[in-house]
Amino acid sequence: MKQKGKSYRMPRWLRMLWRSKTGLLGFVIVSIAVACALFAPWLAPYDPNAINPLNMLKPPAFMAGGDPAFLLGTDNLGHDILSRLIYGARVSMIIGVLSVILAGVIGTAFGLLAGYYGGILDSVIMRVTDAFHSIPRMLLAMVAVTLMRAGIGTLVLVIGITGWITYARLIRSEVLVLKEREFVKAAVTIGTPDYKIICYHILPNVFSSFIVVSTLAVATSIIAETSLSFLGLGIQPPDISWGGMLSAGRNYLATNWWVATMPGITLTMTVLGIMFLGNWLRDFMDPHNQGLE
Amino acid sequence: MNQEALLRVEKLNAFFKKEDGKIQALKDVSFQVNKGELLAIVGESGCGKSLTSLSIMGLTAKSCQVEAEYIDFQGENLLKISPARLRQLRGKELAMIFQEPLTSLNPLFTIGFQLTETICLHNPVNKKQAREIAVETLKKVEIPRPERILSEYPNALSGGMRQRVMIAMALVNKPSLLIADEPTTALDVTIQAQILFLMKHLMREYHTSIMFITHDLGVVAEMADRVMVMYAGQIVEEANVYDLFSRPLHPYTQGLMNSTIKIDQTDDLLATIPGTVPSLADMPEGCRFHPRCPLAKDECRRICPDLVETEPGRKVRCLQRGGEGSIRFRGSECPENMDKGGNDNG
Amino acid sequence: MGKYLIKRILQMIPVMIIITMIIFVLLNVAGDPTVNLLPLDATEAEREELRTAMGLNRPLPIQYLDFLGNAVKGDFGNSYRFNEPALDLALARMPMSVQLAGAALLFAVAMAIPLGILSAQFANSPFDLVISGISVLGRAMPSFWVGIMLILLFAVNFRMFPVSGSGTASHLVLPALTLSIQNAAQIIPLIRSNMLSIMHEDYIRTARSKGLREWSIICIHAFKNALVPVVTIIALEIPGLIGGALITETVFAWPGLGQFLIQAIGNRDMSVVQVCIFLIALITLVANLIADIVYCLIDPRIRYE
Repeated sequence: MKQKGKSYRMPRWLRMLWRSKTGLLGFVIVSIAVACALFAPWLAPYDPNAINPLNMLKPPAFMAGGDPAFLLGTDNLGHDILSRLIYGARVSMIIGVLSVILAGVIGTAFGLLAGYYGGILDSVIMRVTDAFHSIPRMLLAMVAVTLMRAGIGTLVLVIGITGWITYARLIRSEVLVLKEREFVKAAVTIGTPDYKIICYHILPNVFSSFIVVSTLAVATSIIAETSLSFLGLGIQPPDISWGGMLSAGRNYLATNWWVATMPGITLTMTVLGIMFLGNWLRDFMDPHNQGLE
Repeated sequence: MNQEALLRVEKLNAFFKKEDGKIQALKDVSFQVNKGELLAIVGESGCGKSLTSLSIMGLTAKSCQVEAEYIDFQGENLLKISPARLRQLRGKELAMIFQEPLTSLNPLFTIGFQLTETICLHNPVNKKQAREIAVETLKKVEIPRPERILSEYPNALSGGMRQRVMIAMALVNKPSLLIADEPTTALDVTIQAQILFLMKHLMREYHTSIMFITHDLGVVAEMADRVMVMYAGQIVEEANVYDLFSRPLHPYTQGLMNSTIKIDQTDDLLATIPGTVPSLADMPEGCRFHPRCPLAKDECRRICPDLVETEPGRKVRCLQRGGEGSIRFRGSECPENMDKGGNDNG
Repeated sequence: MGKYLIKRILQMIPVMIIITMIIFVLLNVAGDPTVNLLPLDATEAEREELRTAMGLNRPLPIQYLDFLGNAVKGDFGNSYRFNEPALDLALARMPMSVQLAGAALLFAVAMAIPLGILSAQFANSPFDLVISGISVLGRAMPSFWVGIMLILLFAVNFRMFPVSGSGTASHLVLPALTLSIQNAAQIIPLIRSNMLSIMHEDYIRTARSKGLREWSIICIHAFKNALVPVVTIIALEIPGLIGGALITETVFAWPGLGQFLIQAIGNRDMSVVQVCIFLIALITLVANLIADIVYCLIDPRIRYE
């Protein structure tokens, strides 16, 4: 990247991405999903909440009886499924990303405390993560969501708070390893204050695993959100969630399969894309791979 | 050679497949192990001595391609017989001890399981009889309280004890040939002496021949009847142990001898062989040892020396030490890497 | 091993206490229980009276200790909806859930072990690629979506199994399969990569040198070693399995703890919710303990630590 040749050279990450088929696929899928989330009003062909009784349960355009105007068909209220999917990406992405940031901040803070200071603090924090681990995350989220007002903010909060243990455990174990490294020991020896050691020596070194875990955590968060919405506990109309669309389409499985299947496929593809991107990132950030070109 | 041969290896070649072609790791290795003798193979790490033993056992990695005119063991060509027959021979007639006693035993099974497994596989005995044989063999390798050890897991044993178990496992079916691949390298010196003594003792008791692989000349002097010195995938010298130590011919052997500490050494500096072992992918032309050889002449850089019998029972691969016949012009370079197309399978 | 187990069991005590705290906090966040217990037109004085009667006006730590004491005795209060002890109601639903989760775990392991071993043995073959693809897909699909697909395929199209409900073995197949797919998808790649690295271990070479058949080396010597991390991952996945069961039970109308719990959440029947969380957490802890014991039994190295 640093060398400035006469001809243009792609940056290293792009070259490596190009070489990895699944990584590239993941990148493309995630880019599409992000674009849908950002530009939904311009991309969606129809108002996603426009009820159109004349066009109820139209099959997708590629099927017999399909209308090219409704590419993926319509649901029981005559909503255009494609438009709803595009708007649904918005909710999924917002909740996925924000809840992961929240979980990351909380988890990293506790992981740092536990790993860096050790002792009783460490034991207490670890027992708390054990306790949180033994209560299924979905269960906790389900209860918490019902106790608060349903909505995007609540979902971000609930999914974020229930996701912190992954980070706490990861950061703690990384910090434990880093603490034994020479540069940290050296910094301690010359009397560097703790906050400086944490900010300059520890945080930068846990960053790559943080990013990798976060990417995969976005996928988990999206699944959690859609699951809650599927159960009717998450996103409430008029906001649109893939989980809610799936839930509504369940009743038409036998007769109009596309109503439930389209959001299901979209959801699976998105999660798959994020997982592929995350796996590629893990390989990319692995220091053992740095020399490989 | 008036003795009866147990194992005869003729022109053994081994290649590792790489993305760009293949790399030759063994080149025309030919030797024999006689009944009742202990043949030592000496050389630095990476010279192909372990690969030679694994090739005989048929245990090389999948990426390794082994070719030879024949590997004749008691009249059977190990490269031609069926996999089922090879399995019958392994563990029964052909046994092997490995370098790392710590990792060579499966950590999740008891010693008893691992021992009786071998016994039951090759002998028509039931579990109880197999256990008795196992106890008997553990006694032979001087393990205290063998009945208790049977129900222990490898992790409960020290390295020396584990190597004794490995020896017991190898000898339990009274094999004709035992291949020992640096069996004492990972052990303490005192334990090493005990294990070596034990092997020598059991060799006589079980009438087993041993192919002993080591890099330690002290061990060779102690143990071997005959010695084969290997360098960079080739045999460079072969002699009986007395001749080799009293009169090493090949400059590499001499270098090895000089770089061991002697009791009467007065100067502080230990002689070393200059340079390093060449990588298999980048073999020097001519004699493979010439870049490190004090005797190297111009011809050594061009001509590949043959392994030549200079006197009965004594072979050497050196242009400067061999007889007249050894200096033969074989073309200006020796194709090392891609000269075998896999068409001659012995 | 005894010492290790005692240590593990002792470690469970603080974890249990923290779990009760989490449950207690949830209860308090839930707001005023008198809203549900009294008619809507009840006066503030009546509410106050009930709060005092229920001990809700006492300081929180005292309330917590009270709650803890009752929890230890197995008393979580009555379900206001059914007017029966919440614990009994929940326990009555447990067997169905255990049946489902047990069948799912069995399915998952029975699928994952042979597929993982075969994938490793035929690494990079078309078979391996197909299995890898399916397991990646299995991890990417949420369980409710898998359930719907299975219903669409096997219940609606092929009419092989009932759409939902319980009672016969064929009712169990689809929900158990739904739950097991994600687990199997986690375990398969793990077994595959373990087997691939284990087949290069020295002790496998030793086993070969003894003249063992390749398949018995794989199935005895390599497999037991590959199993060690699988036990760990199964233990780690148990909360996920139970969480998945909550949703799967809803999709298939399976009358277990999960469905009961979701109804209770909908009704804000908090004593039932508490009891369910408590039971599920307890099951998870015990399952983890069992996994640890199994781990100890498989791997003697733990015992010498």
